[in-house]
Amino acid sequence: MKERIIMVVFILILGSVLTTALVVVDNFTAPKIKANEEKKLQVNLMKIFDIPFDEKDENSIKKAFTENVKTITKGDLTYYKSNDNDIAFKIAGPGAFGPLTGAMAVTSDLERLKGVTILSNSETPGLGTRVFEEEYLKNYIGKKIVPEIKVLAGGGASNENEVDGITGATLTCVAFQNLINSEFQRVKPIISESE
Amino acid sequence: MSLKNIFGAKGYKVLKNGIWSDHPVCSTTLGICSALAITNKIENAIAMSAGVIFVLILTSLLISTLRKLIPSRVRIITYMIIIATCVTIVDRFLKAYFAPLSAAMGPYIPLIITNCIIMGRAEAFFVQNNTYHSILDAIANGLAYSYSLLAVAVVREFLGFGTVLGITVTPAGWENWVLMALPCGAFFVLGIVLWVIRTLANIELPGAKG
Repeated sequence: MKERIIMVVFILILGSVLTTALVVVDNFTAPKIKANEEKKLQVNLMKIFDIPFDEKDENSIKKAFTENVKTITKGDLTYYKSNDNDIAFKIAGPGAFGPLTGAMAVTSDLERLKGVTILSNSETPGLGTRVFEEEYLKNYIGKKIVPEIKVLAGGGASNENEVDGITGATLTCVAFQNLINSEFQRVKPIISESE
Repeated sequence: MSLKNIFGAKGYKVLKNGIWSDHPVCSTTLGICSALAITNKIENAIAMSAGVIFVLILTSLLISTLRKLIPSRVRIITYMIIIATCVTIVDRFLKAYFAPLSAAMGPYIPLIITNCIIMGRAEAFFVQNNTYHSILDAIANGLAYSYSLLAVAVVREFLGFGTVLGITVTPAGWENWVLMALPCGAFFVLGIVLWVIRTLANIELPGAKG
């Protein structure tokens, strides 16, 4: 009996000590992590808007963002507008192996993709994640998203709304295509109403 | 001055066993999952190794210090929560202060929790030995894990992508072996690495003959 009490007490004490350590670490790092995420979003929004800035210089990032990007909130949706009237918004949805989050920008007439970027994913490193590399995402710039964008697994994209897929990343490509289409359909009515 | 004088006779033996003759990946086949999963790029292997070494050292410190207090019936749960806490702290710390590195390592950091080397060494060594030897053992096993991961990653990145650390080293016209970039390529390369290290280190497996 005594042995069991010691066992329970030990686990309780250890659990509380470690939890306390985690709470302290969390309190300590949470503001910094939030600021990092905010900065990452700003940097990525400016990249897909194609706004020039110095990525290594914190002040340049802040300055370029406040000068070039307006943040607009409409109901539950927060979206961003550049000086060229292009519109960007955050996207989130299922990938092939876990959630995807990111941002995409469309032209002011809501017809063409201006740029797209992925901020977090759970795809297979080195395979699925190649879809999110900047070099590949350049293929999406200027593509028509009305009625929908198509990623062709076998390649051979010829129409204005088609992009070649990547071999070895077919599932991720399909998930990515669905993410772009469904998120655009979700925000389109809200944005066209407020603009 | 020899290594034996620096680390003490036992310390030297612990180091030698961990790094070479009782190799965690090659002899006890621990940590195989991550050795297969993340070795298609060298930088991934380096990041994973660094994370594992750090968590091993932290865990060895905590478990060997607490070893006389841990009730044997709940020792596995104790290892688990200690390891999970260490990994979470590393993860948060990297996210806050080394955001680009954390972004590059992505899902690998939480995966360190399930690395059986840490659990295995906790049960086999940290819980029975003093803090000094436990930390030596953690470093030795971490290094052994790192160099076997690197050996696999160098071969796979070179053949699968034609690069070393992201720098193209192959001549124009080089055809990438896509198989090597895919998970199945890891089985071939890791098999060969296991064979080579086992032969060189003269590792005898119980029950294996010839």
